[in-house]
Amino acid sequence: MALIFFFLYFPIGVLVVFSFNASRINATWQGFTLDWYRQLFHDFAIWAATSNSLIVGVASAAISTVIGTMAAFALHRYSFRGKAAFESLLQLPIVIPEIVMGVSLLAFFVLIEMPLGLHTVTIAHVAFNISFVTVVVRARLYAFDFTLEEAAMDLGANRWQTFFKVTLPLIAPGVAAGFLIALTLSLDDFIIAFFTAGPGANTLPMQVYSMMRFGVTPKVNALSTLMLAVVILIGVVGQFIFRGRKETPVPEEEIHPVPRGFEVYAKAGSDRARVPVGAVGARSSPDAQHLQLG
Amino acid sequence: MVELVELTKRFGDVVAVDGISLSVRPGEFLTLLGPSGCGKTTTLRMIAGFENPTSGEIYIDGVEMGDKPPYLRPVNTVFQQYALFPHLTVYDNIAFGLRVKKVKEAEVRARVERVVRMLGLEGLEGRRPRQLSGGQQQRVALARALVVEPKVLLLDEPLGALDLKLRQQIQLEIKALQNALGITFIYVTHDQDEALTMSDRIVVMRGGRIEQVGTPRQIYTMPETRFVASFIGEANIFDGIAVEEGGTGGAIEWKGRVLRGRQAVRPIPEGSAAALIVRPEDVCLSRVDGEPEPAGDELIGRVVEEIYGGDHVRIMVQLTDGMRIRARVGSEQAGLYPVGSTVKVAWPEGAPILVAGD
Ligand SMILES: Nc1ncnc2c1ncn2[C@@H]1O[C@H](COP(=O)(O)OP(=O)(O)OP(=O)(O)O)[C@@H](O)[C@H]1O
Ligand SMILES: [Mg+2]
Repeated sequence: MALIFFFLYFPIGVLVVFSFNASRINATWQGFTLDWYRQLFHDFAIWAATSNSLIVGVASAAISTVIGTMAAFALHRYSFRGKAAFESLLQLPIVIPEIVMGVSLLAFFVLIEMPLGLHTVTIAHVAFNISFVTVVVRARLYAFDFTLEEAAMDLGANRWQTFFKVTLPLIAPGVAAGFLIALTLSLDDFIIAFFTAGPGANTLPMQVYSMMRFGVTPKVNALSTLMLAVVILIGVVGQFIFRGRKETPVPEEEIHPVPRGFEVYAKAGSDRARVPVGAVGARSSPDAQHLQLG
Repeated sequence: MVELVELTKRFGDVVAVDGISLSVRPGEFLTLLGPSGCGKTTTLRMIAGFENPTSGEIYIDGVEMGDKPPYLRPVNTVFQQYALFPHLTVYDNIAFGLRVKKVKEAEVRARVERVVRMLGLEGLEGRRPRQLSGGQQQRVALARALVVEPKVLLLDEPLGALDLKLRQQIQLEIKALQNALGITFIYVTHDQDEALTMSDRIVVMRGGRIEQVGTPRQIYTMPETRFVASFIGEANIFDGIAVEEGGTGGAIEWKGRVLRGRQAVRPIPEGSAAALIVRPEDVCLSRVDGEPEPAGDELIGRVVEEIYGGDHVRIMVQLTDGMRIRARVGSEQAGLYPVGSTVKVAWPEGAPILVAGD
């Protein structure tokens, strides 16, 4: 266990430390400096990439949260022909290799003659984020008592009032978790963005990659450190949302232990989304993280 | 007030409610009573609008409900598990029904305060449901439904989750409240004592059908079927064959003897299965010397159990032909029939009730 932690966190620790190193090369420590951060600050390309990443991240997270939540409801509440197939299809993107998704999405955009740009990255990110949001929101729905909706309607609330006054507030932590995971996954993604972004539509991970062609400079370290900080921050905010609301309707212990489809998520989460998910949840084990999120 | 016509509900192959017709009077406290799975909840849910009937009609206050959604029906429900909104305070829970109907906030406050006082919830307004005891939650559920002033209140085993003491106390409170408000209550329970104490009328259900409708007294003293007799109150049941009997009485042949009772409410054709019902409190015992042995038409047996119950004593008698008879006598007779003694079992003429057999 300790060994795993060592391999996981030692390189990250080194990266963070060397981002403050006064030396150009990553080999020796020559004293503390903020120079590399200062340089980052004055690099126009990095600012552009940052704003691209944020636009894509927020837009794709918002869209996939809405669609994913609706899908989760549909799956939870109704049974229809082909439901099982629909469910598997919905969860497939979690296990499809990213490179396959990237290539196929690119081929698709070329086929429909859609010019590549930020919007294509956003569409691509929505496509894979929906799966994650659906799984997370669904986990929340397992613990939701639908008699509460009946009680609301019984008291005269129509379907909209019932949804906004009762259902949504009670599943909000799940929806928020879905949004945050979608956001971090989008900020984190390199491969799919690499294939589907047009010229001039660099996202941050793509920017890091292009800087890497000149070697792992302290500047790259500094940029990576900042990205790490942002993702951890999102995680902390997430924790705060779930922990801070002590009156959350569904206490942790009542949450359905391992809902269907959850195992897939836990598995996928541990290889594909190690950094963001690890940052959002506790550090102990993938399962524990997801239970808290759900 | 509420009129059910040939109401039927099927879930796939299961017939949960099987063509029941029933008329509930304004201001009445009506109880649906029956064993688990007999369709009580399903009936209530159809009235509330949570389930659509497979066939049949529901009229509330003269209006056919059709497939009207729950929020357009003048009825409210108190759920078995209360279904209080966990994210809202007691005050906001109670105010919910008024706010969704856009009642002015000043009026909301006045009306919430009134039911809060009526149900003794003062001081709890700021709490969340999970910070309340079971009895308090139950009262909030009642308050939340009553504040919108429904024409009919539906209650599905509202006391099921409470312990016996609290249950009996809230039973009386609910009954008093209903008297004071004059609202029609349709109350579901599988507890016969609860039904007998609270109701104006009881509907006994079985397998999705109505067995009998009547006042608690009618149901207890004049059961129309063997099921009703055995389900409500304790009963000694003699299963036999109906035989001819002159006059106003009826009789069955049971193990070679003729047992007489009151004429059945629903006529029983001669020669068909019939049962004689003897309530434990109608059984008279008298000591007989010697070992129990069959003697003509008399029922002789041995006392196998005596349980002292304060104001009464329960005695179990094993008859010579195997059947066990339960008797309930006044506590002044305690010790008169010790375990092992031989007794004669009898009852006043006209006490037993005759019903059709199953
Ligand atoms: N949604 C449903 N789907 C399938 N069958 C159902 C459904 N709801 C009820 N039933 C069946 O209908 C029958 C009547 O159920 P109902 O809940 O009305 O009984 P009940 O009288 O309320 O029983 P209890 O005292 O246990 O609450 C039962 O056999 C039950 O299994
Ligand atoms: Mg029920």
